Amino acid sequence: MKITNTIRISLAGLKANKLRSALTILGIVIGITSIILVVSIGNGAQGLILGEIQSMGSRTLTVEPGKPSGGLSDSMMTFFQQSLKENDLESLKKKANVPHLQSIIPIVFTSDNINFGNEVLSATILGSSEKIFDFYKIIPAEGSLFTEDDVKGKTDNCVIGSKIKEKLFGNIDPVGQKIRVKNKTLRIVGVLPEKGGGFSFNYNSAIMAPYTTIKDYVLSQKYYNEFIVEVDQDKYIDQTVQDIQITLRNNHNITDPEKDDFNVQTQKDLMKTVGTVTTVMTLFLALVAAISLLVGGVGIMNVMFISVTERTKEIGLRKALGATNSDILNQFLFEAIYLTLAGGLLGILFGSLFSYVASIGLSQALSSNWAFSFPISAALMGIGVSAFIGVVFGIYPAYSASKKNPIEALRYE
Amino acid sequence: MSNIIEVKNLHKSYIVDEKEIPVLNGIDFAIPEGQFIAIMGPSGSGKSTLLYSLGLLDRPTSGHYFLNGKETSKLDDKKLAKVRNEEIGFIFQSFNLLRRTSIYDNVRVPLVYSNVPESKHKEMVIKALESVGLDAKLYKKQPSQLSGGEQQRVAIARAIINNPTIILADEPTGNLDSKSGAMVMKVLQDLNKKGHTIILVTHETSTSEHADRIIHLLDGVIDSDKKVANRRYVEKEKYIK
Repeated sequence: MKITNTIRISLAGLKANKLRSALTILGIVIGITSIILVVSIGNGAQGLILGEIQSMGSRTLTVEPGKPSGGLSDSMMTFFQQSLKENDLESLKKKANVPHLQSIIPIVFTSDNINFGNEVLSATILGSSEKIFDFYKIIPAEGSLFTEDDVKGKTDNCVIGSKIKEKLFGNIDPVGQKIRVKNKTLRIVGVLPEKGGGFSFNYNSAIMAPYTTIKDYVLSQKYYNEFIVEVDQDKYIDQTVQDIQITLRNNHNITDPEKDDFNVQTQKDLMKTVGTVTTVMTLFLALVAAISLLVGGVGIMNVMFISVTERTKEIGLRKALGATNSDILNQFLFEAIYLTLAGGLLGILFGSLFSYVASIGLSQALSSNWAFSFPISAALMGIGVSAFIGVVFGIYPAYSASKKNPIEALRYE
Repeated sequence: MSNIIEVKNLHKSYIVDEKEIPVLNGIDFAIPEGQFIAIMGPSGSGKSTLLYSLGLLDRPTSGHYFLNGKETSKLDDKKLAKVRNEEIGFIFQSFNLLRRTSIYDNVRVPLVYSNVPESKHKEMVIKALESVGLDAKLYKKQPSQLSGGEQQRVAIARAIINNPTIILADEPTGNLDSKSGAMVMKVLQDLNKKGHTIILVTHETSTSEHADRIIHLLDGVIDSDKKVANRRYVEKEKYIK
């Protein structure tokens, strides 16, 4: 029999049971929709994060305490490591040690309550040098920023993020006001501009002050949480990484690099790590979504069996009138494939629609440019997978239909 | 006239619960082309099994079946399907029309499994409907919109659309009132006149008398094989609109 006839007969079979066909493909629709949605949002998130990392400049290195490793528990541990000390900062600043270091920003941070009058608010408290403003390209929305002199003089001048201003001060002008962090009183000299959301440091809910002040008076700690290093030229990135490692190993008396209690990350490393993490997360979520495809496939198999049983007489009749076993097999197999393909196409449609809506929603919620990208690879995979499911779950019912004895089939009531 | 069908020592048994149940126990007969045969017999005598064996829907356990001089037991499933499609037309007691499928699509089912180009289907469907006395305009309707007699005539149109040499009818009037039944018998007699060989299974003596030969089966063997002395003819003006 011609393939066009098989296609027509199969479609007619499905049209005769429109509601059942529609309900049957629901599982596939949901499965493909979720996969498209997950992959699209995953791609969007990855693009956004990588974009932000790139915007920080490729010449940026970060030095963190803790041994270099990709594990989550290790990165959690860096918060508790105290390996980056004052003498490390001084050594790194020396041209003899790290000749291509253009600037270094020491960072200390914590999360704590801040008080203004009777108001209490939880915030990120970040201590750094004034160079951080250049680094993040920050221009104050109100007032001014703290300066090199503030850092040197360990003054109590600080700047606050837009959300802190909104929540703690409302309509009051915060510039000149005093807030308490732990036992230290800080004076607000400026308000930071509202930062579009994202995944790098979001200072909307932070207060920033000289690291000297925060480290010595607020946290009373003798170590740093991070150094941000800027290399003078791209070509010296690798050399600078090595120079930093040698300097810190000297300071820490480490001979075996395996035992490093710090790690130096380039933007390339970071992008690679972020890329891997987001890809793995996306794949994992897509895999979870794919389970519904499996469930949908079993649903289709079930309905195909019901359909074959219901149409036993039709099978007998078609055989009596000249249909071969393979004609019958193809008829039912095509029905299953149409069902799953239709489900797949609808899933791609809904998935794209939802991810487009989600990209608009996320753009607004994060005040950032969350790019919608139609995941072509996921869509193609969706079509392929749904057709494959049609074949896998349709072949057995179709085979059982083709093997029916025509006489018994004709007598079936 | 040459024999279109020749059956020699045909046996058929079924295995039910590991037990062999014999149904046909050595059937011998020959049917010349253009004959109208009625197969009769009580329930369980094997008449339907014989009909389906002649229709190549079932293979005999042993014996020989020559169709147009060709031994059929050596044909594979695909070839059997081709023979059913091109040389045999089936008519069933319960019409077996596809529900929720137009008359047009019902009648052309055999064409779908043949090599007839689709451009010729409509013309052939209309011709088949007209040759069984139905209005060609019915082709857009659904089976449920037709009377039982009309439905059976649609089924006959389907059986003859490929112009088969043999028409096998299994109790074609069994589900019809006498008037519709007579109409169907008239159509079958007309087709017989046009040269189709017709083999009809029935347990109604009055129906069997429309044939020109009656084979009577009993317990899987031929009990009698007689020519009909006073063959009945359905008068056209009496039933056909």
